[in-house]
Amino acid sequence: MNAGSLSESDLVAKSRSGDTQALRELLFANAGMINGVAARITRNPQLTQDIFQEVAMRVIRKIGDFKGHCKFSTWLYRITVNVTFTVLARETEHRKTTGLDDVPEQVLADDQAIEESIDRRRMFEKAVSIIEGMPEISREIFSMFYFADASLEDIAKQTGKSENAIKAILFKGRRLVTKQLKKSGMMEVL
Amino acid sequence: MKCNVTERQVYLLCDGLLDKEQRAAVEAHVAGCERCGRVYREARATLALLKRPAPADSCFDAAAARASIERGLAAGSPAPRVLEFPLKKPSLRFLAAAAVLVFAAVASMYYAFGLQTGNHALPPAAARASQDGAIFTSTRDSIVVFDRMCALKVCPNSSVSISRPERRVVHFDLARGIVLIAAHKRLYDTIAVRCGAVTAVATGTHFSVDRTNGEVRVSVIEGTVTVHSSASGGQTAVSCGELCLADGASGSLSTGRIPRSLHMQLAEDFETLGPWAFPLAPPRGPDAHQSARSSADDPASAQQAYAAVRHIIRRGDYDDAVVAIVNYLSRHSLDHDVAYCDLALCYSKTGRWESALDAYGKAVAATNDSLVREAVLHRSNSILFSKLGRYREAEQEIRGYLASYPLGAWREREYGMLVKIELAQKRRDEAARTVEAYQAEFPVACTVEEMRAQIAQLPRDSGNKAGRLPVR
Repeated sequence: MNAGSLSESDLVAKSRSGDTQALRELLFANAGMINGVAARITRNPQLTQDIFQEVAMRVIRKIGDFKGHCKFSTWLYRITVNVTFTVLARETEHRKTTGLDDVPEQVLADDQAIEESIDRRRMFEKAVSIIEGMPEISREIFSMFYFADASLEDIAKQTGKSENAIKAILFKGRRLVTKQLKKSGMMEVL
Repeated sequence: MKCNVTERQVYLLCDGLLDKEQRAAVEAHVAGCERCGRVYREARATLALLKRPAPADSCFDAAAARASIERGLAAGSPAPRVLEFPLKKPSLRFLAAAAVLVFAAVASMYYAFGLQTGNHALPPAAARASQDGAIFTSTRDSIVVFDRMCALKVCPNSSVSISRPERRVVHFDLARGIVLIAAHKRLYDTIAVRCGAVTAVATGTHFSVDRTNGEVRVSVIEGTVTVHSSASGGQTAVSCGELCLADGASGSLSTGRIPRSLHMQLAEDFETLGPWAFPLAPPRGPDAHQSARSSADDPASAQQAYAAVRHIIRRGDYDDAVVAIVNYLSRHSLDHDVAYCDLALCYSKTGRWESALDAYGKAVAATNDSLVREAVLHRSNSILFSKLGRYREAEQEIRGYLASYPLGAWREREYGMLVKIELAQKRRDEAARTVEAYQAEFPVACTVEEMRAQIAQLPRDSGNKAGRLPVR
């Protein structure tokens, strides 16, 4: 049977039982979503590609662990946001060790999205660094909601937390981001 | 005017998460209240920032995605869930082979340690509880944790034997396949992996050795490993993020960067080895063995219960983890030192330094392992010095450490803390004596000159003035 004609749940079931073709199709069907989430957080095409590669490898290795308690896409969101923050942390470390952090920001900005104002990008980077510093579970929930547009219900199923607990985490995270941006004088730009 | 609307309600309104019943009331309030209106505008502004669409140049590239998927599939095939249909899966044979290999690896270590300590033919539970030479197998396939400070992952179709000529020296002989080694950075003098004519030597780090098709590949994720080749007589130092390829026949060595995909894979593998799996994992001393037997605590159930605790810690829910650890301590008699160390970690993560110190004290009392005791004492001293500022007590403990562990792994740092305390208290002569002892022990320490310069700035007439503790 052609894997391309199967529904997502069939593809997931086949992938879990070791069907490589089904897994290939499943990953390709979700590639846009993975790219979108990674690009929204990193805003860097090269890092986005690296993240997609890493997410694909993780899914290939871990598909057997997917229990089906939540939507496959939610499980994938969680992997994607985790990989994204891992890659971002490594990139930050790399920039520090290679001295790239010393390069004037204007120079770095030239090869990045032109339409973005430097201030706004700097502010977004600050917000991401605040999110990076959150406890792991809060970071996952926060990113799944704001960057991957996952619903409260799906996040609850995926993480095992109640919707109220998730709302509390989202509120604390949002307030933290706002306060930190205000503290660093960046809120005025908004 | 006092607001009857909370900040949380304003943020939830902004995110569209407020219940229908509350929405109208909160909206009306926000429209009329200056303070809540400002909170709402700020919340909207950060929401707009977070919800910005991806930049235009990062649009989805189907060809690149296909290529990435193929690379991923080539690097590792999916692992099917064999537990659901165990007999129908072709991978059963593979799993059985892996199990046999793991058993062989465990048995060989068991044999090696048994010879060394005289614990012949002990049943597994007893071997686990025996002192010093004991080994411990984790619940995960093919991961072997031994000596509490070093863990080994034996990949499928690999064969490795282990010997330990000295307390802080471990030798692995890799006949074939891949091993990943995570050893505490400071507690080993030598961790050596021999692959025929090629030997990789480290003093504790995270690295993997892959011996296939006559070639040896050493990949270093953390620390530095020296690779020797007796065939060519050459040697090379491999740093973090690098790999070394050694030709088994000619013995030639070449180094390069670890490819990104391999680096990611290894980094993830090491996540399962440490820090949660290995740092203070559990063989037991004779007393603990006795206590385990007397309380009839089943090692398997204790291990399972503790795995659940570690899961909570990994999630980062440190408050929940504290509760889980305290429950574990009240129900199980095994591995209390490990549990107290983790308890201290949870307290440290949440800034409760006094409680962390107390937990470390209990870990010291609960352990029979000198390496663990040493590590815990160092951590306690660090907390006393840098977090709590109890310098007088810290000084006493640091001097105790320096006297008790003449070959200790943290002597350099302990000396550093001691000198800082003496400098801060302007005890010029004592600081000079400590720096002298420090330099005698660590002749190449680069901080000595800096310390001497600071001592030179102290007034000559100042002595040991009680109560003049550094201001934090």
